[in-house]
Amino acid sequence: MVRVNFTPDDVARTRFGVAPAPLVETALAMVGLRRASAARSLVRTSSWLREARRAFPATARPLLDLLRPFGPWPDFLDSISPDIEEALAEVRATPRADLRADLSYAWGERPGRPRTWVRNLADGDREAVDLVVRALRDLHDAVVAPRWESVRVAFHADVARRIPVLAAGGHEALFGTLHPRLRWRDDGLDRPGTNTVCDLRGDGMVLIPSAFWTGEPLFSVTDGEHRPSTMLYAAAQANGHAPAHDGLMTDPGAPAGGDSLAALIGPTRAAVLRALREPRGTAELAGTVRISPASASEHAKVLRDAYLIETRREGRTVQHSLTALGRTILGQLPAGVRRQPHTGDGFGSL
Amino acid sequence: MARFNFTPDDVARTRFSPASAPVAETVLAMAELRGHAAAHGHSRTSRWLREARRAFPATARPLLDLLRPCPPWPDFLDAFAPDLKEGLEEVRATPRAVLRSELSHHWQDRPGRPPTWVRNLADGDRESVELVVRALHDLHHAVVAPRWDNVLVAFHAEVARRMPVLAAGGPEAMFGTLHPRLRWRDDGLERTGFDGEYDLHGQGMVLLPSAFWTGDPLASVTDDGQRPTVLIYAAQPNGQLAHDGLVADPAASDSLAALLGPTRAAVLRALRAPRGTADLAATVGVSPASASEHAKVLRDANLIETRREGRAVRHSLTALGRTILGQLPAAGDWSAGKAS
Repeated sequence: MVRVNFTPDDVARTRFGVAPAPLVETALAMVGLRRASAARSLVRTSSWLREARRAFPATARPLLDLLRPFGPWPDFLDSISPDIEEALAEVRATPRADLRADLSYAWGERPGRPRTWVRNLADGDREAVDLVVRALRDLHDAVVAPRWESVRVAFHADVARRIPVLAAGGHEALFGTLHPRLRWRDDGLDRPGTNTVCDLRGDGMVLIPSAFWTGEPLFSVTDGEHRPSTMLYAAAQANGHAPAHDGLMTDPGAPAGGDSLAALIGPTRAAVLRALREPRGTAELAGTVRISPASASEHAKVLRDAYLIETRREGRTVQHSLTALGRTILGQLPAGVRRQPHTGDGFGSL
Repeated sequence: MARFNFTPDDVARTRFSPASAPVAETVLAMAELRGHAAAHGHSRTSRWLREARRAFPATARPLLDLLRPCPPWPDFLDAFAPDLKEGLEEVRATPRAVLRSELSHHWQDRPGRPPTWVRNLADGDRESVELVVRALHDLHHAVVAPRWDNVLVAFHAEVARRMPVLAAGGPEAMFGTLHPRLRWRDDGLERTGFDGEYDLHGQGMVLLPSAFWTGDPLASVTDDGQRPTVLIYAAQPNGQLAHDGLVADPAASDSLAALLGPTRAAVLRALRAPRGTADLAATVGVSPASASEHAKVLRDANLIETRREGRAVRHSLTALGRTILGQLPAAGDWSAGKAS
């Protein structure tokens, strides 16, 4: 049993991440590829896995030594920064002592000696560090970046759908629905696994839904000084029935039937709501949507009465902006997201 | 300063009430009426207060003896059931010992003797209890019920407004934005303005935004932990007090129908209970083809979901659909949708 103990402050500070973490998604995509390769008999392989295998860059091969299919994985790859460059800078800045400790932990009971370059990495060798950083960046660019819009949409859709559970039932109910094997019990969180007890230290935990991860929730408990403790879990797909993972190759912005928001509330009103992603006065709103000011004002009233927007008086004019509910509706119904083409090579020999 | 001590379990069980509470809103409406009557110099009076004063039923007058303009009020009036009948039943079922202790506690710093009927009430006299229940019932019908749609919409918009704060910052950040008098500090919630220290007994805290109440946050605590502590605060669904928007004409304020169109709004509302297409069509009074078309639009917008059950399909609300309609989902709604 893996157990994480919370103080009251820890629960009060447990929150969702603000955005998906590109570096963590890259590491988990790598693990997903390795697991798929390990299970050769797997009949049904997600199309993203097939494409990712084709796109796998040769420069990412050092990661094969660091990220085994079933862990443990070195912690210094765990940066949850929403910006890949920032996350890579964190990896590059890992103190030598941490590299050594993380690698010896990750190597664990693995048979044989680590390869030379990994031993160099454990010694803090700059070239070895740069090899890892380059591997992560190239794998990110080849495999994760082309699907980033899907990852982002999966993240926000998952959070948007779980917030009402949190509001209605508290963290206990939320944890009870994140994964079948995760459970809140007696002031802490339990998950089956090798017996481990971790204590949070008053800074709470950041919850991160991942589009690439399909396994059990992963904990990373820190001293809270440089990095918050995190729990990463498999994001659910918009319909809640399958991991978001399965949808990684689909175009997330195109629900069946085209513009579903326009179908729901009418095209003009949908355009008015979308225009208010930026706060605007009535005249500007009318100009943006190309309707009369009277019509803009009328649409704004209907949206305001439904609490999708709010209107504030500023001197002699008014300013309309989205409410949380308005943002939720727009967030769930993105206007249209393009998929990007991608190419590469190198994973074939895994 | 009052302090509520939370255990980790208490924080993990802190949640919003699933809906507004009709009896509690009635009591709070009465308190508002008393408060504004007490503040004579008050020049600006909400429209609902003027209307409520005119509609005030004579049978509700006993509440004048029980509810002074300022708290505390007798706890046995704190009924939080989402249904009026159930709430009134809770009041009716108050044990005699509780009536006595609360009324004597309540009266101790008031000058003069309580009126005869209140003394009888403290003795558990059934007729006096019925007087209170009838007063709450009639006041609810005259003042609260005509505005109930607005109360519910304000409630849910208020909760929706807090959700992003809760998600991005946790309960600590959320408490920090509910009211200037509330603050999370050192494993507990502090409320300035009155004194006391309370434990939550592992039951957590239920947050109840009120559309009628405009004052400082109120806590309804129990000594024995039989039910969770309830924190009542003034709802501000759009940054302004919901109170100011309470009007008595629900037909003019069907904001959902204005947004979606009356038929589609009716379809969405009908799906508070899961239904097949034929059942849905019959409930709303449209053709099955039309019901099916509306269901498709609502499904594409993620407001409902449709499951195949044998040869038929079944439509039900999603979490987003419930939020818009003003219903928080039960945690159980998620059990079918878990990731592998």
